[in-house]
Amino acid sequence: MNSIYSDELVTATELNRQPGRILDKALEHPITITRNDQSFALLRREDVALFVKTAQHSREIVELLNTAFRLLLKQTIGNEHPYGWLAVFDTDELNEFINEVMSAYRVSDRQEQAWNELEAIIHEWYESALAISNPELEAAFSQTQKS
Amino acid sequence: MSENAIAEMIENIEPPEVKLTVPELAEITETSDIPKTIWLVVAKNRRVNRDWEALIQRNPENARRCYKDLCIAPITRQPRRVFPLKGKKYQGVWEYEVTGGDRVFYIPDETQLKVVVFYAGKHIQPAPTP
Repeated sequence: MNSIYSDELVTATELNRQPGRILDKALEHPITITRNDQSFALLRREDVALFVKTAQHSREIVELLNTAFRLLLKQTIGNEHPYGWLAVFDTDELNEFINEVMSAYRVSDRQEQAWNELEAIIHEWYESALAISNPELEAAFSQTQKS
Repeated sequence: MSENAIAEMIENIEPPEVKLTVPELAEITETSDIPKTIWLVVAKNRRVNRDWEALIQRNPENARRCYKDLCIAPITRQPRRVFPLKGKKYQGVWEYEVTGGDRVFYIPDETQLKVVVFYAGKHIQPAPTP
């Protein structure tokens, strides 16, 4: 992330004179447009979307992992907590969750598909937490002979 | 599928299990060019099958897709749709997200090529969103 603006500067006048050439450059890498003491970024829309997604997910991952670690330390997490659902898992399961999320996060590297996989992993843990805490499901799996 | 093969599959149903009701237009056939393994799909008991039939009534198209996937690829993970549950309590149990509000939980038996559906119905609510 720290190198996305290590690019050439283009003045607003230059952009007005040669918009096609500047846009071609912006297709390949972000461009900085300057006007007096102001500067603007010109880059692909998909890249911006991915940067925003990365920022949003990073915050979510930190919060999720923080919750998991707090549970490992036997701290109480209230039901009102957005990730309170993690409390249904025991120590081994929480460690497995942390490992899975960390592994997926390491390979994400601002790639859309990798973020989708990370989202899927979190979703599957969440759905599993709901299943574990569902008494109807427990009854379904324990009633083997009733019809 | 041949009638003999179907009869053989039905013989593998152990009471009180019942063959899961097949949604209309969802008969699975084996084509010669794409050979596929077809699993026997049963409900754990009649009550589960009734719940499944109610699900078919609510969402026929989604139920058809679910039934086909259970017959052809019950242990193929589809992110956010078909996956094994995490944790020890339901190890070996798979979840199928039929719709946003309906779920099917089942256990696939690879040796018998048999899927036993234990639950088909409404998803647990209320639930915090991750």
